[in-house]
Amino acid sequence: MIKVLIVDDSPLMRRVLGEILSEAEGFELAFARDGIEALQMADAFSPDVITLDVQMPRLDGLQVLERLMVERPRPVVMVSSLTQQGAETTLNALERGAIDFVPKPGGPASLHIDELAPLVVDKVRAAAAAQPKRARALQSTSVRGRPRKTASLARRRTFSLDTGPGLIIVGASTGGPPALEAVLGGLPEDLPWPVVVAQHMPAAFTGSLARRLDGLCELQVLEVIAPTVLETGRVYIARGDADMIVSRRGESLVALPAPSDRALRWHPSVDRLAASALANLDASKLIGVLLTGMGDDGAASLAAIRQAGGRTIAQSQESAVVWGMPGVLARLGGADEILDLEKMADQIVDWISAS
Amino acid sequence: MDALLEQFLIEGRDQRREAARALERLSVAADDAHALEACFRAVHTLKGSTGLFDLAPMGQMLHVAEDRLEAARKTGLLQRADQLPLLRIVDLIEDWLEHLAAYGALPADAAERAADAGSTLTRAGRYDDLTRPGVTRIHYVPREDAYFAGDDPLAIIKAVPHLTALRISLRDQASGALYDPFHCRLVLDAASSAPPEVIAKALALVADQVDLTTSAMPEAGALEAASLEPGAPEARSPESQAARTVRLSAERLDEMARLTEELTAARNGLMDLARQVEHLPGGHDLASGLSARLGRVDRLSEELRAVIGQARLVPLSGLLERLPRVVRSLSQTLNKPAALTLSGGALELDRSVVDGLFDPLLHILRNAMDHGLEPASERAASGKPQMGALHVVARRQAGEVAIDIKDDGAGVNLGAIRARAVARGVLDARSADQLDPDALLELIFHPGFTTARTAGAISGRGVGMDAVRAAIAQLGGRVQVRSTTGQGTTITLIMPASIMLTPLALVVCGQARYAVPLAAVERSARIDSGQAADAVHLADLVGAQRRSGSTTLTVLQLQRGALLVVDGVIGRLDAAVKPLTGLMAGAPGFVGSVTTADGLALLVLDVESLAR
Amino acid sequence: MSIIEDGANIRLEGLCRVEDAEPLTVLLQSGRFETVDISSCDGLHSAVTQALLVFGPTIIGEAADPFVRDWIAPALRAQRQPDQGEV
Repeated sequence: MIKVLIVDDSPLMRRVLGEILSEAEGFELAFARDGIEALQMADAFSPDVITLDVQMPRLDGLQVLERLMVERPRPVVMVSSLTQQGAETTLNALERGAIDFVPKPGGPASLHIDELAPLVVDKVRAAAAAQPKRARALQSTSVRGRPRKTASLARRRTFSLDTGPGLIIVGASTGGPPALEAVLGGLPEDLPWPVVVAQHMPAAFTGSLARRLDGLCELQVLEVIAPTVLETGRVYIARGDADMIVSRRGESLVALPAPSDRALRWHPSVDRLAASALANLDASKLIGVLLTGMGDDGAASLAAIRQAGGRTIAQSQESAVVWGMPGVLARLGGADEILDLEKMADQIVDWISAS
Repeated sequence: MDALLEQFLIEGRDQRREAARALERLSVAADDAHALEACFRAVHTLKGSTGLFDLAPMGQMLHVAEDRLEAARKTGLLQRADQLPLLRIVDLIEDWLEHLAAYGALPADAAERAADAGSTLTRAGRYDDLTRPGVTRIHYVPREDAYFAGDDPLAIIKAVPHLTALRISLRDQASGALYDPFHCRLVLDAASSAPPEVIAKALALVADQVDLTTSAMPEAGALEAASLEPGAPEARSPESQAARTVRLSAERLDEMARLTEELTAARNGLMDLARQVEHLPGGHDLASGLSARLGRVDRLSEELRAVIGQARLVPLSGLLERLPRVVRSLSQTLNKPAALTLSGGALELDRSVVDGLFDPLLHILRNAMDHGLEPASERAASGKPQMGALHVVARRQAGEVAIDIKDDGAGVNLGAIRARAVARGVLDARSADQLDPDALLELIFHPGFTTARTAGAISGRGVGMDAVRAAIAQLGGRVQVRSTTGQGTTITLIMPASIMLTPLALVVCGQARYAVPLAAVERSARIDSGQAADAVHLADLVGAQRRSGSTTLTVLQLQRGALLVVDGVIGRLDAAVKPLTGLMAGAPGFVGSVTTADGLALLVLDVESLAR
Repeated sequence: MSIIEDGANIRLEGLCRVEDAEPLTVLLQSGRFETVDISSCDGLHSAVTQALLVFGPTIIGEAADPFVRDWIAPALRAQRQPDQGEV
């Protein structure tokens, strides 16, 4: 039995989530109507997973989350509306230690209940097995503060296929946003290789993710919504609800959104992104990084990159929220290095300097 | 002047104003989504009403404008080049409406000017061999994200039987340097000699992106002013009568109703205070004094409310009488003979409800004519009279007014719904198979699940049954649908007789408060727990803990004798019950929510379903 | 694999799916190809057709698939004609 505490001020929403989970079986449920009750129940009921509404009276979702993470860390799944504001708040929550999020039922862009139910069940199950972190990202952002962003366009080079530098491919899923922040935030402004990122997320969220990372990283971060020429010093985030592929336009390397490959389960697909990069660049010019997440997306294609002479990093089990994707990569023997988040940026810079 | 035309002029001026206002906002921010939506809706509605009269040039011009706005709505941006032409069209409409009001017809040069204004918006399309007589022309502009949505527009055209022509062109010159192969830029113009309804069926999934024109129909020609029946001028009311009645503008009446509601809400706030005073030391006397005076305020505001409510009531006949003409014109366009019967026109509803009902009724009737009634030949084959029968019946039903729109057509094709639900990704195949007929029918209200239709003059684009349900919900009503294969479909709109405030009992259960419509409550009482064997416990319904340890229970005795056990009754409240939206709309056990004076939203129990 | 380079000709084979639009775009953009042979083509996704329309190569061959042969190919050829003066 997985013990789940459902925190929501709306009786109806409690009921909807409650029914979804009780129909799935294997869950023992308790409910809290607001933040204060949630904290009390976290002690009394001792849940394995908490689902947390963002907007609540007395103590809102983010405040509850912060106190939970400090006082008694538990896996938390945020229940978020698929809106601009919902995206910002959710990313804040993920940074503060929430494991994952599910879209809120009943919103303007909400999923149909039949699609939502399996998603909720999957994510709550995965969260139960995950390792909550003690407000990790809070320290890093407060120490680093807002980086300067100097517009050194003169140094920015368009990617040339023959003489150009290489490409860094990053894949992430559950627990990804704070991990991305740690890795990308550690990369220097003059990084000579561009970075492409596939983070499993809906389209409503990837724009906010890109803006947020842009504010936190020395590199410029943008979401790819049309064919875009890859330039050094930039990070390209795949738009959600679609895949992203690497291709060519004349002498330039570009990234562009592509309709989701229906054969694949998660989008934007890390496998499709990495395979398209390998089709256009020599493997020796590729570095693949696979971060925390459910499932195995990216493991096969990154193993292929390593096989062909490229280099790869899998996130370590201890530092990963869910050691699914990086775990499979490690088991396939596809990882050159298995590293904690903090060490990845240095490893990437070392490899690039050596080449 | 023709009463129908007069009505059209009143609404038309509003819609034109709405469109002009939205365009002004768009000239400041071309990506203002609300303004785009408002502008599209105004133009769309106006175009729809134009079809009821012989105002072809106006209709064509609005159609072009609507196309453009629809494209803008999809990209989220109104192209700068389109702004001025659209404003010009809106200005022209203003002139024409006034001309129409003064002379009963459009100006003589209307067709010419419409073509002019339209061509500044679109590159005039040449159709060559697409215009052969007897074929239906298909103009299909796929959404720009069609490939991402999983659509293959050419495969969809391939499914149209009896193609006679196909032209593939680009909606704009794609830039070569960073060409995006997954941004759909195709414009498909095709023609087919299949019957229009067969073509429409093949294109049902993309009905919102397709225009069908059957070229056998007369090309939109010059306006024949004579067809606007001149009729006798309406008898004016005698001067003497005018002296005794004051014409009150509808806005003024709305304002009065709004103020009355606020007065009632303010009174509710005072009631709360009075209850708190009661608990203060020595507050008892003050509280009873307050209560007595509040009682008087109560009675007065109740009377005021009733008087204003009365003044706002109008009979349904004005609305219903507009429908036969709609059916006549549809019957002609679709070549489906149909007879419409009306009853219940004497029933009265709040003016705003009656006004708001026209568009949903129009839409339902269009659907019934377009998809419900079979073609005459098919009807003959299945032994039905060739003339389709439509009934619009208004009747009282438990304090509400129900309006049935019945047709004797083929009924809703559940198999097609199931298939479309799966194709649209609303459901997976397995859960679709498990749905019972009622749940399947319910799917027609799912957003994006628009019914098949030929676009253009008959049914508009982008407004489906989900929009009907939303419009009705906004008026405080609800929509039900029943359908029997082969025998027809009945859609029932259930409207509140008054959208004024509903008296509610406030109850507490667990740690939450709920509201129960007082009309459904006979009395509240405390009874021995032994007597409550058959009672329904609210705690069970809302997933709270039953209160234990007490030998007496607080119950509400509902109509038909059912008992509802609550933790306590804490007072009464008059409030406007708002329907639940989104996923909550499907939640059993609740009819809506109300907002209390302190801003809390309370759920209102559906007593009827509880009592069962 | 349904897109095959063959000298100055590109051969489309089998079913050309939506994802084939990108590699075809890359080839057509390179300027190295003048013709596209559709004789072994069993179906063209709209995105692939669109790329052919945008870059305007000469379409050669009779497609195996009747819809491509009778409708798509003639439509593509008809669109190309007005431009040929400029080429």
